[in-house]
Amino acid sequence: MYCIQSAATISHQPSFASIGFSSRLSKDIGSLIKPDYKDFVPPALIRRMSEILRMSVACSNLVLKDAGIKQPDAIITGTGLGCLYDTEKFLNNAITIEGGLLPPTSFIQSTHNTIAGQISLVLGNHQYNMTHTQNSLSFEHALLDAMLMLDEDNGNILIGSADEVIDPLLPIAAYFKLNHFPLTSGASFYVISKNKNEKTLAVIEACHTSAFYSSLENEIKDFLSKTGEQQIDFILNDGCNKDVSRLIEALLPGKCIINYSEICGLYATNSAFALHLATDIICNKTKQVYDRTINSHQRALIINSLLPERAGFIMIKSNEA
Amino acid sequence: MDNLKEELKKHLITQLNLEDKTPADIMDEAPLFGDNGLGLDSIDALELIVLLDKHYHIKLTNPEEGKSVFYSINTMAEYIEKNKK
Repeated sequence: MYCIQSAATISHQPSFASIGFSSRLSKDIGSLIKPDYKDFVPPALIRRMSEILRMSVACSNLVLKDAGIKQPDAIITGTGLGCLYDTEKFLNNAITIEGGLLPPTSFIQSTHNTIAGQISLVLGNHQYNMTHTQNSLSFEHALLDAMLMLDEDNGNILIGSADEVIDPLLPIAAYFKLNHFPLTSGASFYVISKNKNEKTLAVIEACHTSAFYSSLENEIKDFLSKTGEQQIDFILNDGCNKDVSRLIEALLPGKCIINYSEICGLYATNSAFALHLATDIICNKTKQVYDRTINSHQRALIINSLLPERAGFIMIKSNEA
Repeated sequence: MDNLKEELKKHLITQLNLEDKTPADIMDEAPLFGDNGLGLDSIDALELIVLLDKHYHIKLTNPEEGKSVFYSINTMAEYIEKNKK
């Protein structure tokens, strides 16, 4: 059993420190909705942090506080494209400062594992620290890592993912025809543990990823056969591929399907937002998300097929189920 | 010299992302490092070396000099005056 003890998301929706946000979603994806980072990030460190780091450290601090934990037993993050702002800054410096010294901060903070590293530095944490980066499946792989750790031992694992948008991504996304939804930034973090208690928000039943599959239909059928399709109350689908949407409707007829990229926008790890949205819907028994009506709140399936030939599935259930 | 100190403070704020500071907040004689001053650290020291190179074409080659050169705005300005090309 993998229990979600706390959850925090900074996104373009009012999701941060906002229980029941699934019933207050904005129809339009506006700007990133940020908290006052000074409440969550040490002032001496904040000035050096780019948005992706500020979001991640703020979310991490909130989930640890909500779960009543000072030090997690592991920090596991996923990021599709990493710290893009610092990467761009470093590369621009390399181009403009011909042969001169390069500023170190943007170089140090341009690597993908800066997120998990900064969280551990802020906490003074010396436990397992891992970063997964497999593009659109980065969050699912981080989650699988956490689940494997919990299979071996008890503990409280801080897990999450983050991605940020920078301007040069816009033409690249258009080239790859990833322009169905606006490109956005977001970070979602969770504390998960093996033991259910009064803080448990929901339970992750299973997570599965598949790359370079021959048939998405077979992948979905396999996952459902292991987890039981008849009990699914609602489905969160990335919604970027109409053929996939039609396939899900055919395989799971009559189910409530919510396209989560329509709500949070597009970034490589937006399935982590979907997990928080599903948790919030289940915990607060949200009846309406946009124009979709949810009648039962026991079990939800998250399908991530953001990129072709890559799929991630997460099954989540109510802690009462 | 006063113009140089003012310019130096602006460069410092930009290079080190001192978002909440204005040049007026940085005293000429106050220590840049440690809790009694701006609270800069070792990564900032590297950024200051880059700042000297980028804006004043001065390469600080002897690490022993760093502590005295980067003590305050006054010491930095004096060093720049002596070594600028």
